[in-house]
Amino acid sequence: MRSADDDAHGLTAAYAVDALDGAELRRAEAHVAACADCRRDLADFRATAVRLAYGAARRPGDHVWERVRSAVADVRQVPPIAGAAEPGAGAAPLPPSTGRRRTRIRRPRVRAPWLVAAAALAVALVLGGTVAAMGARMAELRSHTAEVEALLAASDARLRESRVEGTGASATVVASERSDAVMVVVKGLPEAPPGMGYQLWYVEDDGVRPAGMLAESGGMLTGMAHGLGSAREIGITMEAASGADAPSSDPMRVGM
Amino acid sequence: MERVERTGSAGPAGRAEGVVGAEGAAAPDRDGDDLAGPLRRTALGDLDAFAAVYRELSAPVYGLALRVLRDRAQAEEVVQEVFTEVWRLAARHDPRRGGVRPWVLTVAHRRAVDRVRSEQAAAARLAEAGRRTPESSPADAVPDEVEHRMERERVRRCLRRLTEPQRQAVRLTYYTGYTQREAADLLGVPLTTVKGRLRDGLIRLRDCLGVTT
Ligand SMILES: [Zn+2]
Repeated sequence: MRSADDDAHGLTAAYAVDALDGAELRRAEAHVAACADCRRDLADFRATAVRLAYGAARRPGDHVWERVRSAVADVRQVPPIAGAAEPGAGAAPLPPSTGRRRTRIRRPRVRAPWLVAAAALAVALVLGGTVAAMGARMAELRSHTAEVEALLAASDARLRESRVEGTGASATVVASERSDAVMVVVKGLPEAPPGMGYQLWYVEDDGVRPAGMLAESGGMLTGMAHGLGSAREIGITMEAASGADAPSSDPMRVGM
Repeated sequence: MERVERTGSAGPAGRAEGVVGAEGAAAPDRDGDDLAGPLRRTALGDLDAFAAVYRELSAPVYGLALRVLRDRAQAEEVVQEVFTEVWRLAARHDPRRGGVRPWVLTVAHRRAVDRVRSEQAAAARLAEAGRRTPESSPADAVPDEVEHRMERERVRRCLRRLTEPQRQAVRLTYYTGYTQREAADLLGVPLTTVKGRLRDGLIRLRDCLGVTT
């Protein structure tokens, strides 16, 4: 499959051995997500790397296993993502996606560790691997991270992963009424042309409200917004980079 | 620009290179998934199954981390982090996307590389690298362990079949944790040169080791 970023084909080997950072890493991630040839190459290269790891194999001391075993005793396991190929039988699935007018699913009073882990994965998608390369931007990243952590700390925080309606893109949404915040990570939407950007909207029963612009970083879009109101879905449209008061087209919808 | 050419719709490419014969026919099946079952049971909280996954993968995880970090305590921490993640995310592993080994060892390599990159400023690392040749570093010494001797020798044999620049590119990135840009700086060659060497080296290794996915 050809993609818009053909030069990125050449990054797959380096990507497989974690030899990329910064913009190149994000470019490779975005490309591999969109290119079947490169996914196949990546699988080959990773399998080759497995052999290289076995070539360096060394048995750790028994005390390491003791530490691992006692560490996991306190670690709650993440349930499978709904719709995954082989959800581990018996593990609790994520709450099913329901219609716009669904009633709210009652949430546990304490925040679920699996949610933190899952959301941390989403955050890692955005921050992953780039932190070391961006020393100068650490403060920025930290403040972003702090906001995310505050959201995750909310007792009613919940995570949903779903397709962006009408596209091949996927969205991870973490939302909490209590902290009145939503975090969105979208993967797989085409890059916006110069001067344009993706805008986030709150979709409510009686209309849509602007919820800010999504930031683009290496093929992924991220955003955080407050003031959820009665929104049950978020919408995404392409607008001028400065944002619009009303969507210029029917928003692509994502549940939250 | 430089994607891995495929000779036909079915066969992954570079395979027609013919320079090296596949040696991996008798190799243990590293990807087809004897670990899928234990991982599924791990996802259900089965500690014995988790112990089986650990038994199989702790040595490559630890050995790899040790190779990259050159520090026993840090490598042990990586083992702990990696297996805690395996325990926590076992249910999220999607067999359609690949085997348990590539997943776990990808996580392990990232963890080790993240540590090495965050702890030392790039400049300091480059300066240090100038003082020691990656080829002769202590962690490269053959560990006195018989368990993985066959595989170790097979990998060494295949590494020997690379050209010296290819071997260097593979070692500096995978075993030492450099980015390809850092490797290019260190070797004093253009980035595209290192890119090509790394890719060609991995393709040749793949074929020599008989890797199939
Ligand atoms: Zn590609």
